[in-house]
Amino acid sequence: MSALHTLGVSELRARLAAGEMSPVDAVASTLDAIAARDAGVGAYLEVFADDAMARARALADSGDCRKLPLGGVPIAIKDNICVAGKRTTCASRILRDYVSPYTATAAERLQAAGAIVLGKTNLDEFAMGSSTENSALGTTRNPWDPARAPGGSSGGSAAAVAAEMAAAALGSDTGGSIRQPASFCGVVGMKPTYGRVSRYGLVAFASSLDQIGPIARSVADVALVLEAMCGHDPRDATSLSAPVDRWSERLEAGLEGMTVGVPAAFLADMDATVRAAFDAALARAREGGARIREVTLPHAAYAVAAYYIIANAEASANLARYDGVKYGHRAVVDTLYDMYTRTRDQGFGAEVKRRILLGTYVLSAGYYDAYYRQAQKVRSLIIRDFEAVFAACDLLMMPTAPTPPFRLGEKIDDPILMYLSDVYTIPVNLAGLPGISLPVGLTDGRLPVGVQLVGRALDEERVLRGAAGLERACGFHERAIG
Amino acid sequence: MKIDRDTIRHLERLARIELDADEVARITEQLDRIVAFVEQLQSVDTAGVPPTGLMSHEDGDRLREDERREGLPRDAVLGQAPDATDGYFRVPRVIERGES
Repeated sequence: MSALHTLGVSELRARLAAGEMSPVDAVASTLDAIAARDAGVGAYLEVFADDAMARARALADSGDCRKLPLGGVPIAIKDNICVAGKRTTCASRILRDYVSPYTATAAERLQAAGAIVLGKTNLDEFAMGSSTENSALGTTRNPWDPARAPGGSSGGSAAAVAAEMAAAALGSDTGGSIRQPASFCGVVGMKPTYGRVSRYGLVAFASSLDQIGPIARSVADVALVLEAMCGHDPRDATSLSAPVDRWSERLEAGLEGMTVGVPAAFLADMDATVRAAFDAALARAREGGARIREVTLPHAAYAVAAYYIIANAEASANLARYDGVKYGHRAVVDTLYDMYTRTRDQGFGAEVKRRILLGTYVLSAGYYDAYYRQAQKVRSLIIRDFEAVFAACDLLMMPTAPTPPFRLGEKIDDPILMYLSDVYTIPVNLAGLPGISLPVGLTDGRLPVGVQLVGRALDEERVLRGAAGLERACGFHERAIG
Repeated sequence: MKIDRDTIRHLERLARIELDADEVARITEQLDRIVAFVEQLQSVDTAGVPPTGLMSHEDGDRLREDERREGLPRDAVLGQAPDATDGYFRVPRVIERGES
């Protein structure tokens, strides 16, 4: 029973539902894997071993485990998503000791579906970054090469799943923070349509962009987790009432008959190793029944610039709440003004300060129209570009990131270079569309390369179905192990 | 628009963040480069294009009924405060002596 942690959500569920194994074994095996490996990976900020074992025993005793859609499935949660009675640090000094009094809707729904929370995973502070190096609480390493970054900001969640220290994990994606680390770690990660998953209990970064989504080792596993947490929540006014299907049961047809757009001009600057893997995946998609069509996204090249104005404007407002009064760190000084400024100086790291100041700048008197308003108009043009593409295509296919996983330290001193790591994921957030990253191949240096499929708003079904088809056609897992 | 140290000092006051001298130098240089980078948006023709603020892929009223609901228990909330006394958040003196 020692290898149960290697099982994905679907295989675990098949065995648990058949009564062939106990959730206690699944959790114990995964906790053993964490104990053996996480010192070298650094995926988790905190592990709830006793709670997880107790929950597994309770599920086993109640007999519910066999019936519940995620009964007995061990999951990890990014540490910007609240679980009652546990710390939610956002990997920031300012929230290092904050204990959440309530549970996020997404986590609550997964728990209600039988999932067992193993612990909280590392991230870039407040989800601001693309390498998890902006964490104030520790370094996460890429399980494929410990000298390299796991991507970010959901780097801990992606690394935990890749190293088989969880069957699935929750991340959050504001500009690529689920998809880019999934690509870097050779796993599957999905950002659903904006509004599909309630953000109640997700610590806000940029509210017009933030979305929670799953990371797992197969498309079917991602579908199983996603369908368990989507749907309207009265506690999040942006959550949608659109019906949620059993997408995991509709994956069979794959890419057959789908028209897949490729925005070739926008993709001109990708790394040669990524291009090789992407072109090979395109050929496989064609063999899998897709019609490939060249399309254009004329304004996508402006997406990174528009994003850094919009996201940081919203962040500067959202992070105003960390004032040393209600929760978190407080600097002890004599006056209220000094308390605010010293608390925030001591509590926030360099990237968070940079973004708050940039956001404050673009919203300040005299610059609002030139920067913030103009960025919102460019956002509208990017949305129109996607609408034109999806009038003729079912899906859009792009690399997830322009490079394979980069080295730790390689980009940390150059913010703009780091931002460009999200060049292909950011437009999707600006348009609020569903996007999935799945691994399609390895570079010569045995580093994973991910491809992104994007669909129409609320069309998670085609995105997942197409991804399942591409996954089968590429056979990444067989080749990665072999 | 050139970002200089005076701009940064102004933004520090607006954002209630205090930077030390090293940070000011570094962030001035970095923000100047980031603002130069986002300047590319000025070249996009947006005449007649409406801005996108909050977005939703569903039409209709998103507001719930205006009805009374239970919040979190007061003790649970104040239990997270760095300083709380007698059911209140406690902060340094807000109104300076002699201002009344």
